Amino acid sequence: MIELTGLTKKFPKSKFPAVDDASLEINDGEIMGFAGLNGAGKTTTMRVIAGVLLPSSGKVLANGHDIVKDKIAASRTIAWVPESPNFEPDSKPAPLLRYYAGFFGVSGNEARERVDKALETVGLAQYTKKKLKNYSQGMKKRFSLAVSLVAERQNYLFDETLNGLDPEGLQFLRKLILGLKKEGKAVFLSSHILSELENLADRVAIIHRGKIVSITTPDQLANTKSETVKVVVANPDDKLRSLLAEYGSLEIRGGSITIRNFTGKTSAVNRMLLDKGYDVRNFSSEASLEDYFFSQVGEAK
Amino acid sequence: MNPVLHEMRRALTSKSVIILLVVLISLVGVLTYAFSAFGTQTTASGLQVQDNAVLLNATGNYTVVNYITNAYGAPIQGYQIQLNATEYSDNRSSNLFEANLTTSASGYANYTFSHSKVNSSSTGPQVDISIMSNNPGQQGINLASLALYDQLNAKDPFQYTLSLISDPGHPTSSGFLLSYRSINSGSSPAVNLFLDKQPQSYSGINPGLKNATFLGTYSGFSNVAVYPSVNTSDFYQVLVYNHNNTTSLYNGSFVATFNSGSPVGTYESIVLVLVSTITGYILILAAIFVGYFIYGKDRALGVADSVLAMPISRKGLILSRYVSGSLTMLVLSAASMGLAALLIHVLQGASIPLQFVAILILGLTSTAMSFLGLMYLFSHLTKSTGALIGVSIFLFLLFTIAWSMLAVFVPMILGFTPGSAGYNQMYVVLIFMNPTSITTVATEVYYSSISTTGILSPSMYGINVYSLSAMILLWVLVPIVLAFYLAIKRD
Repeated sequence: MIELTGLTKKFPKSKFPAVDDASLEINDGEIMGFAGLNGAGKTTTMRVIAGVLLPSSGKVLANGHDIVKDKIAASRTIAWVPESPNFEPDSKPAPLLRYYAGFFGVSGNEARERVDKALETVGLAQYTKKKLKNYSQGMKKRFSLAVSLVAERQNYLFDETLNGLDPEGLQFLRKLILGLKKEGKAVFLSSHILSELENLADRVAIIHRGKIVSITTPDQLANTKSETVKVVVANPDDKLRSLLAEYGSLEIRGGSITIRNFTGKTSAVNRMLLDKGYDVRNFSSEASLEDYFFSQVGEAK
Repeated sequence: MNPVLHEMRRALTSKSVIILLVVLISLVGVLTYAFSAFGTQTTASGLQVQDNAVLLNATGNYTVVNYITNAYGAPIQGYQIQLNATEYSDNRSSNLFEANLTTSASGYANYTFSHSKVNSSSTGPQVDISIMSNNPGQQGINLASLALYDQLNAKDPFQYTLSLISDPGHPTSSGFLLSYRSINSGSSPAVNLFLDKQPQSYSGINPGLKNATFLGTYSGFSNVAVYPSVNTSDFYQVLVYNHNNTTSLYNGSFVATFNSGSPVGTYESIVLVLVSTITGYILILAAIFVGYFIYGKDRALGVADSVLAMPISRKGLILSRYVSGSLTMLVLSAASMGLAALLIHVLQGASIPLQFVAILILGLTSTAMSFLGLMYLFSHLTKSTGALIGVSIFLFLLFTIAWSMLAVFVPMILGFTPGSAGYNQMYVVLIFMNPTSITTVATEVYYSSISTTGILSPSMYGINVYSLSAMILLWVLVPIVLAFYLAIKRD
């Protein structure tokens, strides 16, 4: 379990705090999504939780241990998979993983077994003779995942880990994250791929300009008015825009129409279009995180 | 593996450090060899110990025996000697012979001459033999004079002689070299050696064995080095008796604390200091490199973050890396100075006191640790590898080149006249403020502890063990403590 209480991080030469009075809890067995625009404060928050940055004020507790005052105990419970992993470039993966295992009191044959298993799990078993400086960015991410697996932790931080992974890697990571949830671990997952967060996360925290502007659940999401309607008509014309303008913000590309922040009844709109003689080929509506996200960010502005 | 051990192994087994070690060892080997080879030609005057005797052989010829050793009693090969013999007859004198000799590997350079007129005379010696150094740069320095008063004097079947030497393991302790010369070139029969502490300077009278300490029975020697337990500045008499202590064969004396046998100013110590000075600069570069490699670069590139995310405190991270860096510096210093001392022993037959080698290792390691600490400190004050490299170059140039100019000019700028006491004091204070001077100051303090001679006249300028400790604390501790503070309190 991770608890943030009034977490603030201000960099010396910056006018505004990168993280501003952020409070949230990530419970055991929960996947907390973390969404925000570039520079919103996602990575800074993750780095403070990981113990890499010092908070300016506020508190981070990992399983009850303060990340500043009781760093060693807190760090024992946290696995951090950074957005851009940097490891000793001249090291080979296995010795470096054994080194990391040493921090958890794992050594000797046990360390060797765990390292072999972790490398096998992330698909790097056949690349152990390569130095890390010769790894691609994707391989470095996989290695970073192996670091998080080499010793058992209770809390997992994935910072934009989905970015840059190939489809196989994405699938592996989804399985891994869901597996961790099943095992009762707390997972904090930041991503730009909002649909992934929608599918994986139990709750999603949205951060904007350092402030957590909302924390929502998929159920709450379903009830939100931020609904998007997508319509495809075979015979579009100039009147379509004036007919649909009152239902939300429009995006028309030929016969494809997207109505964001839809207000009204979808069945009534569908009927109206048919009555007006439009050949409606597709009519769908969904409450999406993306819309919700933009609505929240917009409100925060 | 334990993370701290991993850090140490990582530093010590990194390709770069191994290359540095190989370069340093090779450089030390070449420098020591070169300086030592040069030194056999220019052994400093006053350092060698000579034993001379004239023997009348059974064939009726006289042999002048010259035996040259270093201050520790080890034979010196290649030492050049000039003999000048003058014959006196009534009130006239004339040159009898002149000979140039070079000592062999066993330290001997003997000369045999034939003369039938060495008779007793009431007016003085009949033959006077002057023994001088003929080494380049030392020509004419008198080593000894031998006078043959009569044939009987040289016809003694054997002679024991005593030379003062220093204990290689304890340079401030005296020992003695007992030599045995006989007309048939044989070695000494079994004799008992005794030491008697004298209340005052040597009287020349055999004090007897009543209060003497038995040192042992020695036999079959031409030269034997003995290092009895003695007190500094006390007078001692060495007594040589036959095997059943019924006949006194010889007695001679020495004063404990034989300064010329200390490492101060000895050629081998000068070689070691020269080598340590040059390797000192390499070690500074090594410290900068190691500091950059194991800490600065990792911080600037974010590699340290991956470690900091592990269960290790910020203090633990910097401490483990500082300890491993310092250990690397200690290994490099000890390996280079150890090798230099070993080579000097092999090439010159001189034993450098371990204490002196340890002082040099302490000085070099402290200097290297200072630069290591400065690198750690500036790793927290700079934001990029480029800036850190720039600062490293600046620090190196400042302390190795620019500082010596500052030490010369700053006192002048402040109005002190060069050569004045104030100028000298200011100069010494400025020297203190430079971490590259730690080794120099440490050796000065060591010198002053065993001798009154020294380059800087240390005590006059407050150079003592306390100021040395303060200097080491200032340069070794302050940068790393500040780095610790920044590591704990700042990102």
